Amino acid sequence: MQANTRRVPGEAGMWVLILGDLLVFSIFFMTFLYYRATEHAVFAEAHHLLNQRFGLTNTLLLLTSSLFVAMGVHRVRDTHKPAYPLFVGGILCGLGFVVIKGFEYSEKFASGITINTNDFFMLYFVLTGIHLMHVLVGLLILSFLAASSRDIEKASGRLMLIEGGALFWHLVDLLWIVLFALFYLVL
Amino acid sequence: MSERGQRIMIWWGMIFLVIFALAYGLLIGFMPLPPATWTPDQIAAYYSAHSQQILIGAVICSWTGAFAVPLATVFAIQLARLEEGVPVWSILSFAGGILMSMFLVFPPILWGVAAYTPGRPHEITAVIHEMANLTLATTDQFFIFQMIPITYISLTQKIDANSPFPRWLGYFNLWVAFMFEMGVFGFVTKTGPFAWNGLFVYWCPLILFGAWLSTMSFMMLKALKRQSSHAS
Repeated sequence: MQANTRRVPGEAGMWVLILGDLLVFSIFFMTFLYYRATEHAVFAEAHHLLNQRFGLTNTLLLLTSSLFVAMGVHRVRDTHKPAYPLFVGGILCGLGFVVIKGFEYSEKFASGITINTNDFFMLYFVLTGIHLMHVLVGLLILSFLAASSRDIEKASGRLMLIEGGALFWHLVDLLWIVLFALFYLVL
Repeated sequence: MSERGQRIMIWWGMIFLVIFALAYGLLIGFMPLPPATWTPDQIAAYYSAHSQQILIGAVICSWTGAFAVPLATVFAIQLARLEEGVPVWSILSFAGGILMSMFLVFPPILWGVAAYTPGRPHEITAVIHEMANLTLATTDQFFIFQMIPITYISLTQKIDANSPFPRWLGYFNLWVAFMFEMGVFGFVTKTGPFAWNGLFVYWCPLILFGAWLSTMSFMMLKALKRQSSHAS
């Protein structure tokens, strides 16, 4: 990208959605910090009940997935070559995230932890649940990207859509990184 | 042409919305909803202390509760302008708008029912009260059947100078649809930001609903002005 021809990736209107979502999740994060400050002991204890390995694996999966998607967009936009396998790689990592989240939730339920256990787990289930919904929508979008990028002629015509879809996936990734830090890392 | 009729419908819907909101907030008095942890005795005491104003509020809300119908009609007509062949997205949006209207009519009816017989056992009033509040808080997601068609048409329409749906409005609708999905969490917890009076289940949808209807109505009125000057 040259300095004098800077442009917004995707399309300008798409950023209404992205910034809107970032705003909402920022309020989520502030809510979490507010509750954590008022119930510090409960949060510190509940924090230890989370499975860090699941959290870390999921972070790595989403980061890898974002890398695949970014490489896919680069390939379509800058080299004009089909990027189907890269988007499929992104989808597989995303599916891995969903499966691990399923294991994680069932592990919690099996040990008797639910959304009503305490405020930490109320926020944990609701916020990661809303994020999981974003992941599922993102996977649908990635499937569309994969299908569009099989034929390079078609993909070049849909470049803005492909960039927009990829942006959404990066947003999902970014939100997870903050969720991971808040729930699994911060003591 | 029908532009004049559509403008009347927008104003009709918006004025009724304001009356509805005033009657709900000032007479019924549940803006925000009371804590979900109230005991049946507290609930019954509220209804018997405020029964007259709640009943009058229910009357006014019943008159005006269907304010979403004229609005949904105009949104659907404007979508249909941009569709070719059978206007499937417009029909879906119209159906979504009508459905959402139902869930705004139900809670005032139920609050009215709760206040209707002050002498009944407190537990029964408590059940009616819970039905009313959960109906209000957890039905937001029916709005998406109106918002997704608007998103789709906004993002796929051909260039039309008189369209009321710029692309950003499509993304805005998609975001609001996302946000409204949180209302349903009112079922799972009684305290905190996801309770029926909490930040994400009550305040966010309430404020966004106002912002969404105002933005949509404003865009419709602006486009209708262009459309009628274009026609003449």
